[in-house]
Amino acid sequence: MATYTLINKSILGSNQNLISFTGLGSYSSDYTDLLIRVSARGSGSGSRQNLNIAFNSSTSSYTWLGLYGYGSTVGANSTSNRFVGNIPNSGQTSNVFSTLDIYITNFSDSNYKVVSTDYAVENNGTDNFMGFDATLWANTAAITQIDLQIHSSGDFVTGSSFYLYGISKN
Amino acid sequence: MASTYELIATTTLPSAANQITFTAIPSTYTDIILVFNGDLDSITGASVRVGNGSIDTTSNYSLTRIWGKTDGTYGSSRETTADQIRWDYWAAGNGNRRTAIFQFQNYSNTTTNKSVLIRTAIPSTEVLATVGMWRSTSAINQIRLMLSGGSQNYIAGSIATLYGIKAA
Repeated sequence: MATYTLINKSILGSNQNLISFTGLGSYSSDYTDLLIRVSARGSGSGSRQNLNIAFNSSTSSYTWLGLYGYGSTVGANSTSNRFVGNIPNSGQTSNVFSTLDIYITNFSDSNYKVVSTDYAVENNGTDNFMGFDATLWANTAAITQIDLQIHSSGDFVTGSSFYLYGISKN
Repeated sequence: MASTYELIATTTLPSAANQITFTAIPSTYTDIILVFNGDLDSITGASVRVGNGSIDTTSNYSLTRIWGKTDGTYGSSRETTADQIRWDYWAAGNGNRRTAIFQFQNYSNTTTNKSVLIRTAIPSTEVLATVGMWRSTSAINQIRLMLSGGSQNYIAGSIATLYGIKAA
């Protein structure tokens, strides 16, 4: 069996507010880790905005820590949000989409779930934004569903793509 | 279709241990990926060493890191003559498992020094991106996750998995 296998994908043919991968419990015996590779753009105003993740439809018990670089600026921040990276908004150059990887280790074990995200929002040489996030879901339940949604307002626009991979130890 | 991303080895610690070592790593891949998910039992000090035939414990390593912490502080630093590559900086074990992903590029060639890119996510504590160098042209066939403090341990249940990536 391949170690790195495409489980599901969503490539938007029209704007959509929510991306949901369900039925992940059936993969717990096949895969240990999950990777979601996101190329997305939001319809909201401004340059960029955070992407939210939710496991098993739960929106509580998350903490987030982010390190980011923006031009000559570097910063770090931490909140109780459930952020996993940033994606460009309508304020960015047309046709600019995110590069964003969400890596979830041991998604079905009985420990709290750790998410490692790295991303870049490139804007044709201006307003570049890149970062690295650590997100914790303080819950011991196995992950059976993953939802992705823009944090503030807007939809994922047409052409956004979301690929879910399972990573096996077999 | 041939698989390009293959499992080489995996270890789940049955009890606390101060190191996890992979030996006899085959040279048949172009890159290798090591994924760690676990925690430390006490103070900070997670690091990695590599070697060929044996683990290199001398000052043949260097690194540059950028880091951010929950209090909003951030920074970068480097070590030019280290005897290990640290992949945490401030984060003592805190009961939350940490994830670190190591990417060793072109690890088995015998003409270049070896580089590794490490992304460390420690929720509620810190995030780091580290680029490390092993100043040796030898192929890497051993990797050791270790701890800089002699009395520390990786906790039971910590998992380290090594994958190989083929060019084609």
